[in-house]
Amino acid sequence: MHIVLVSSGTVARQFAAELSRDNDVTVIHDGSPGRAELERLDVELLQGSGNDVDLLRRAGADRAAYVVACSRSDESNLLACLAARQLGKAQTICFVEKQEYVRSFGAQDGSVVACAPQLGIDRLVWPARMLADKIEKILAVPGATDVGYFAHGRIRSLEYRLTAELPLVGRPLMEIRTLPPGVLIVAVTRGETWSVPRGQSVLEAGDRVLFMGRSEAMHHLAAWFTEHLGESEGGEVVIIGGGTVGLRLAQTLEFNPKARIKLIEKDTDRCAMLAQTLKRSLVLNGDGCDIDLLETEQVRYAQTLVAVTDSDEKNLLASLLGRQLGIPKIVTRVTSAANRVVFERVGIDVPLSARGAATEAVLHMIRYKGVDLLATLSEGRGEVLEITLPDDFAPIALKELDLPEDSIVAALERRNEAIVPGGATLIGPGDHCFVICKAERVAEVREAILG
Amino acid sequence: MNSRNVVSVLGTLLEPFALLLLLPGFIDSFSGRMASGWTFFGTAIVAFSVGRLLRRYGGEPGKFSRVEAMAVVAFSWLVAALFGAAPYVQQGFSAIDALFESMSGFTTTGSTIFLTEDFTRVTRGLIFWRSLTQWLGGMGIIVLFVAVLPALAVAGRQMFFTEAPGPEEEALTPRIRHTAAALWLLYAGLTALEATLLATVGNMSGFEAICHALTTLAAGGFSPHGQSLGGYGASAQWIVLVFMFLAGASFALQFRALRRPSRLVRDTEFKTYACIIGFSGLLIALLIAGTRGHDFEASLRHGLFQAASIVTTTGYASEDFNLWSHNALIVVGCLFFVGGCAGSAGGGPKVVRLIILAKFLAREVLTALHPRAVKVVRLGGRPLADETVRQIIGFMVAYITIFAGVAALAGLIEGDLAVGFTGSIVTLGNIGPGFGALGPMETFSVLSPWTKGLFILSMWVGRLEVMTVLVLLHPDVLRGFSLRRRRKGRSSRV
Repeated sequence: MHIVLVSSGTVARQFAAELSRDNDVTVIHDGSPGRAELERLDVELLQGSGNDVDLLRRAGADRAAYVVACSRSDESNLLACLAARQLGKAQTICFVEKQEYVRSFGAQDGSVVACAPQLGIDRLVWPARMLADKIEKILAVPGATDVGYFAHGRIRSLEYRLTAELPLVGRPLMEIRTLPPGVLIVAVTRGETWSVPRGQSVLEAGDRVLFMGRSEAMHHLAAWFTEHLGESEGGEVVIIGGGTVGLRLAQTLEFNPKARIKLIEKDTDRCAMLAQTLKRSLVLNGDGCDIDLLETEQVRYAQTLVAVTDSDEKNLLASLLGRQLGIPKIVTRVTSAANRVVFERVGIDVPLSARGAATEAVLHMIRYKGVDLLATLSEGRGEVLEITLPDDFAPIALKELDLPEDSIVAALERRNEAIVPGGATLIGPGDHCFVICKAERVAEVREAILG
Repeated sequence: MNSRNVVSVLGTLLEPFALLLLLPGFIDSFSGRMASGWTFFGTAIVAFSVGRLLRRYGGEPGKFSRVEAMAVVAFSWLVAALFGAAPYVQQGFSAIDALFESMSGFTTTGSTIFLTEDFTRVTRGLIFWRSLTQWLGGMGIIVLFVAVLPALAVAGRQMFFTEAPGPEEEALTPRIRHTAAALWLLYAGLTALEATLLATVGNMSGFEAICHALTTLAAGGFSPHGQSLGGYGASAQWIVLVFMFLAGASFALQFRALRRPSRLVRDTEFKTYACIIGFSGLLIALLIAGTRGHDFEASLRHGLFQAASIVTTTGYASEDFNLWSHNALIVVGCLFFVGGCAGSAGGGPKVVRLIILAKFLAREVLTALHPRAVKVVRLGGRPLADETVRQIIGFMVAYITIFAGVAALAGLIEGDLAVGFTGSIVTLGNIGPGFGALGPMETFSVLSPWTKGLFILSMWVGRLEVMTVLVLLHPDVLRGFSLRRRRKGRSSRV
């Protein structure tokens, strides 16, 4: 399969690296820093603008299966998609940052949305919105470091960082009795390793543990953690950075009438615009890393600090200051993969990446048929897949499946009902299997289940 | 500034104005008061001729600037008051008294220099003229002439918004002439409705009903009866109460509400206005209940009536509120500083300005607490430009300064600070009656001529919402007032 990427900076690196394993990839790059990383990959590299039809033709856009426009400029991306549509039948996927474009291209307010294909864009991807929604979900559950909703909310996942006082720590999983029924421990992140635990595995303090189950049961679990971790609901949210993500997040949080939101933005003109758009948030004009400002604004009493400026360094600094001030929950945006490791080393709970989430979603759009990627876990090390069993599927007990290591069928949806499966549970045609697995094992999992 | 433009438009306005003087002239002629009738006719002829002369002198009006629009608006009220005063002089009032009554009429203030015996002494034509001046001033002289004079088209737009200033310029229709016509139609319709109701249900004679309707919708307050509405029954007072309430609400809003009534509920200013009248009315009712032999209905009626009368700056009295308890009077006193809605017939600072001012203060408090906070002032959810907020603060500062200045001067002249203060606020706010010596059953005629002159200016400045007059006092504008003929092609506009 031939895929053309139109990109700038380092965005395309992750795409190109993933896709070049099984596909022919041509990257049109504008020559900005980040090109060197691409040169190390087995891809064809063309320098120039994605809006140039001749260049697109040279890149093979006329016979490509997909054209993915993921440069930093919305306008370039849109134009590249329109141009590619003139050349051939390639499916076009367009990344946009600005809300206006998502609106004006007729898409509903979703993150990955189908557009009017006659415009030349088959999929519009809005990473900022994906990130803002993700942060909002995480903030809604006190103490949680990750939150996911599946099967129309019937199945939920929550991730918590364990502390030494919790009764879960220090014993094998099969001996744990304190969890509400209908909840499974499906993944553990320890340091930089990610694994699906077995019955004999022992949890340690500092582990980030992913739970999954029916939403009622998860509700009890959240209450249980709230009680044990001593974190309270509500409280003030301080957002540093009033860009697309910060604005979108504040707008979403404002739906909760009890939310108290402070939004710190450096640019004066942008502040004026934010103040006009946001009705209840307190917009502050200043630098989020200015310790004096954080002191005057009594940020220390905030419940949550969200650092979403477009600079990783700023976000890191703001998060560390927040940690220093003793804010219980800190959510940080990180763009560069190299920086993510740094964030984890210094103990920032929730480093998230807008493009990361969007990238994973698009990769799955392109790669696997019959398997939908629902979420990535632990910064892309693990994935949540939804596999819909075909009508000719022969029923089989879960323990009979030859699933690879570090994978687990975490939940089932059968006729609009959520089921937490055991080894003896039979799966049959029409079932939706929610599978947690290591990112590298997606193909094996598909093989094991769908044959 | 091009003075000849101003003169020309003033002349254009004066001609139709002269025609209006014929109406009371006919009334007096038919009722056999020929002397008075001829005074009206004579004044009309003089006004018409002066209008013609001014227009001839001014020539065809050229390009019209903002300052010129302001000048026309400001002077048209002076000129109207001047010509409107002539009939009073003929009936035995001194020149300053006549001018006071005329200005009080056009500015819809309702302060009167009439003594109790004057109400029976003067001709019906004069009583009608007195009411008609208020009716004309209520919607605005300019707004009327913009509606009927197509010649004013472009200049009219600027003058329209200068005469009826609100925080935001808002027209009902793309053409300002149609907007003006729609507003006058609504205004006239409501007036006719009230007159009919008063004559049928309110036990008033047809003449009294018409006079009251004219001054109610204008939020004016002149009554053909020496006791104001206190001289009529409960039913008449309830009817007047309802129409006062309408007169103090934005006519543009009412026009829109004819099609979509839900607009009323969604309008922040209207809601606040209704709440202010409702709450203060009930409060007064509570404070006067049981006193002076009032039963439940009577206290409620007087409470709401007086609250509406003061807030809308009408100035009617359903009884002599000066006899009320001190507490009730304090409530009335606070209401002196409110005023009607923007775009209504009411005067005063206007409810919307107070709302915005309160929100501005809230923002100031927030900024003191969070020095780096960026916040916009919103009205009904919509963000307001800082420019608008600044203008309103400017207005309030000017308003309070002028109020204090006039109060001090008048207090000095009269040797009575209370008279100075009430007189100043009731004339600047175009309200009418005040406390003590200036109460609703008293008269302004006892004041010294100097105080009267001061109050005439105060009424004028108040009706034009201060800024129009202040702009004309700027040296740049004053320098342009020279009436010398200029060579063609050399514009001398500010």
